[in-house]
Amino acid sequence: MEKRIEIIRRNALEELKAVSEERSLQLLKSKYLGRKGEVSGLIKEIMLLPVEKRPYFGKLINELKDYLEGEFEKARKKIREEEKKKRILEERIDITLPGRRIIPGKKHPLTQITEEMIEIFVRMGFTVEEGPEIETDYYNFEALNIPKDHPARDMQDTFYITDDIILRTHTSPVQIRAMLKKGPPIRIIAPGTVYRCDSDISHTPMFHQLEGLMVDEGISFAHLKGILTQFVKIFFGEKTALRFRPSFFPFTEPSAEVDIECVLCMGKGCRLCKNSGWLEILGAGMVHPRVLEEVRYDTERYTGFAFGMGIERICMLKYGINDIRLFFENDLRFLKQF
Amino acid sequence: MKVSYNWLKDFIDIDIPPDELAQLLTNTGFEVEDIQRVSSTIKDVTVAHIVSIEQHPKADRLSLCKVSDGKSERLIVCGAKNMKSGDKVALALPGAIIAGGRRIERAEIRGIVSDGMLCSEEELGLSERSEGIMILPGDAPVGMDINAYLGLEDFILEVNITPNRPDCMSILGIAREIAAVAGAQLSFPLIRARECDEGIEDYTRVTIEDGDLCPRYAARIIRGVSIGSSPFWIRSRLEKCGLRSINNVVDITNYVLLEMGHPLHAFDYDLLEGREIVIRKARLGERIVTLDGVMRDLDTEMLMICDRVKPVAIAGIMGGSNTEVSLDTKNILLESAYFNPTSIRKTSKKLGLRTEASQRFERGADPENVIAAINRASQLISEICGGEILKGIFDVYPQDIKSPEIILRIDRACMLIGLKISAEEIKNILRRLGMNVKDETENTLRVIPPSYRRDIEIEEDLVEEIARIYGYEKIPVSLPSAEIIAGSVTVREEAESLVRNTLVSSGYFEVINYSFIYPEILDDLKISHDSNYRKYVTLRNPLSRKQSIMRTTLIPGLIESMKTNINRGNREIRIFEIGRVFFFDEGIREEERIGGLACGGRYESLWNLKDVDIDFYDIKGVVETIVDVLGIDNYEFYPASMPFLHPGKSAVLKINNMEVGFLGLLHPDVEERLEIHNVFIFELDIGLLRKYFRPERTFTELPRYPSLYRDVALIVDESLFANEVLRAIKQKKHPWIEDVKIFDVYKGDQVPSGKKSIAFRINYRSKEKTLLDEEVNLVHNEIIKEVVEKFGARVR
Repeated sequence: MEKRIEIIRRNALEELKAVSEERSLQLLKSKYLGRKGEVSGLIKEIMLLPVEKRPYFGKLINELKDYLEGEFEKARKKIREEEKKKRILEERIDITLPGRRIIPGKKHPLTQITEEMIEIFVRMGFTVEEGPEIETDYYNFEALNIPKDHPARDMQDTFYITDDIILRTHTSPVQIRAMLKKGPPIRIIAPGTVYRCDSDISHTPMFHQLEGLMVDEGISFAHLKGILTQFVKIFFGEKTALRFRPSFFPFTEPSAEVDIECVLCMGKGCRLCKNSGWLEILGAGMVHPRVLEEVRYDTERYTGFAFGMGIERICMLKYGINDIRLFFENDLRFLKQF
Repeated sequence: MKVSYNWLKDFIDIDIPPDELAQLLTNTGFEVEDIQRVSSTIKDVTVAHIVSIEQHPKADRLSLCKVSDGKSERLIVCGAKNMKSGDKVALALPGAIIAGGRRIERAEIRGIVSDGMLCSEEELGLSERSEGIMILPGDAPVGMDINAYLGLEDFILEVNITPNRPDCMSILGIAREIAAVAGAQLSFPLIRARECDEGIEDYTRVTIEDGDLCPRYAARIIRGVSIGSSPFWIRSRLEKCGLRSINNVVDITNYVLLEMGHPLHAFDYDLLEGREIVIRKARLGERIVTLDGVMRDLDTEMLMICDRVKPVAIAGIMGGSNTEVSLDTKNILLESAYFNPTSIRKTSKKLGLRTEASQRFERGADPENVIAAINRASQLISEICGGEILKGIFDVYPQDIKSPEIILRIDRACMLIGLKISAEEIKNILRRLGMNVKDETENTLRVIPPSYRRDIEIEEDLVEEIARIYGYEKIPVSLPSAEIIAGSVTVREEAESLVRNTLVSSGYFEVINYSFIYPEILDDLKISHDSNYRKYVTLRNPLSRKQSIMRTTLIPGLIESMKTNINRGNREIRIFEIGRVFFFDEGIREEERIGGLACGGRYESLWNLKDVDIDFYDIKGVVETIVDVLGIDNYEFYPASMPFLHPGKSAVLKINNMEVGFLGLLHPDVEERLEIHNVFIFELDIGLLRKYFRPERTFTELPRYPSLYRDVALIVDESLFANEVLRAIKQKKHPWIEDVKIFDVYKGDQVPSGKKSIAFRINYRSKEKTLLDEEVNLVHNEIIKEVVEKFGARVR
């Protein structure tokens, strides 16, 4: 009996060695440990032994059973481990192939720039206003101290619908509309589409502006410099130099144009800045008293400043775009770049 | 305006290089847009003085000239005859380079060594053809380099003069401004019009009939002039400033215009009928041929300069060819006047005729400059063209044009600028600008601007002058200490921003198209004649037919952008635009739209994605997403009947039964006309979307009990819209129905022809308890039974 136990143990171990997959392991397990397996056969044989020997062999057989179960379990784990390794190896893919995705679109660069500007001014307490693109002569010109037959009208080539109805040539009529809507103090910006009857490499008949207006007690030219300097530093970078130089707009007095240091040559002089080292970015000034009178503000008590900038121009400077017409061709290869 | 650096130096003693001068002008409000260098190819030619002239011993046609170049005397052999001893001439020294790169060397001519050459204008490259050598004016300094003397090396500053500063549309005006800023001395040209004894009154008379339009008119007569070409210095200065040389008299009037900023006109006196000048408005039916040879029809608002019978010039704009100064002209009548700016501008605009003169008059000339200008021109004419100036000026100036008196409050000026500037400094600045300044009280000044500063009318104008001369750069930078208010964006931007971000993350690129379209594109879109889309706004002065009306829909622009991209080889196109459309019915109306367009493959061609074209449901998905992000839930799609959309593959979107837009495939007819294929579009009214926009979000508690779902496939008529079944199920409003989804639509073998199978999944959940299979079955079967009956369906 002892011998047979030993043979079964040895045979089982021998056969176990040859097994490499889980299925054959299972079969082998039932051959030895199944209900009709070899170990069960030994247990049945115990009954044939004399009673006093039974406990001894019973113990031996149980030990064999435990032992074999342990070995089978070990083998099973090993096989599983190997199969997993093999599977992992087989599952390898070419990770250099491109991923599957929905490629997001982009906002138009002009929208991106406008949003950036709005955010800066909103942080400085300005509120967004807007007005119609088809304007009356009154809001676009007359109320802004540009009477009919004034030479300043030549500064802006106008699209006419009737004698009195036009496409707005600037966002400045929003100043008038905003001031008529509510009394001082006023702190608004007005981004929008404007039109001028002009088309060449540097002009498109439609473009965009952002207007700003602040009216309150004691507002000075120094404040205008303050707000615009702040804007330029945030938008173009802390180190950007800027200069204010006198200019003329009928609706501001004093008037100014603002230049920033050339973004390309850093002020040394290049083609972009026509060797001046400066790039004009906006027009501004103290609101002309006639404009304030037009909306019945007390000009002794209230003063203000206004400014306006061309969004295309600023966008072109920021990204180094050389042809304004690209903005309206909408070539996806262009739009994808921003 | 083109400004010659050398010319400026006639009037102002400046030692500033051109680029620094440009900087100074720019900082004072006269933006210099460009500096051009004018260089000379001539070298080593000097001003010389002829000491004596002798005949060449071996050649009759040659002379021997002894000339002095200031350092030494030289013997020059010369073939010309037009010089006399004492003349100043241009001497090319041995080694000199003259026009065409020709080099002059010491040379023996018929046995005598010529120590250089006396040059003609032609040889110096100053004119195309010339006779004899160039005789320089008597005051030319001997020994001076000819380049320096003739100003052949110069810088031309392109200065942008703002419309408020007509006084600076001249060399003298710019010089005056520089003098004020730099504190330099200004020297005026010395004007000496030497008159003869005969008085002008015997030869002409001037009558102003319309004093409002012509407040001042002055005339002079110069008798016995000879017309020819101008001397080099006049021609060259005119040309450098962009004017063409005509003849000496006309050139002189133009020269004075550039120099002093006052336009003048010269008439052939003998061609003036009645020998008189009448300033009046044109009469009905009158016409004039202007100097440019164009016949101009006049209207009765236009101010004309006339003789006794007819118009001879359009006042302040252009002369008539009937009295033009020509080679035969002997006597001239010179005009210097001041016209009403608005009148000049209106006439100039109506005639479409802008001239150097009209540009100055319409901005406002200086009425007090009239006499100086006419004297300056008369002097130059008599000096250069010969002739004598009749005594006196026929000057009609009934009413002095007074400069305003402006009260300036010093503290107000300082407040507006944001800087304390002393009264002394303010007075000093204003005086430098030619203003008459008097102390009014301790804090106020009484200021009278000079007659050439018509732009100075109110206190703020003076403030600008102070700030400008003081220097904008020196004004401090400070932030207003206004009450802190949080800036804000409005609901409108918030909605727009949400929609824009949604579309971008759905793969759509934002485009911006011009707001202009053209009527024919509406025909291409099959839009009927009574459609709203035809209620467009028409531009009176469009740039082209293609940009002649304002858009009533974004679709044409989107199609245009798509075509551009296809032509350039971009295939998968997803674009959108947010912009305004314009209608003209009772009045002009602006509305906002969001439009989108998609064509090409569903994905960019990739190795692991199926290459399929997009279809209706792609674009519908985008529209649904837009509505969803706006928090709108009561929307539905209905079949559309837009003429430009495929009738079977298009829909309108309704929110609360209100139509807010459309979507679908372009109609095959439209595709055919526009040569495009499989293009899906949508357009929604953002204004309406915004009305239903729910920016605020509320929290709904997550369900506590599990849900159960039941699937059912119904065989229905092919023409039945799935939505109707969906709606029927939802309309039951059973509290347990949480959600109904369509998860499959099938047509084919297992379904009879003319039918389709739609599979629904209904999700059941109770807020109070865990539902049991049996109770859900009960409800579900009841619902299905009703639906089956309603639509004649069959459960599959």
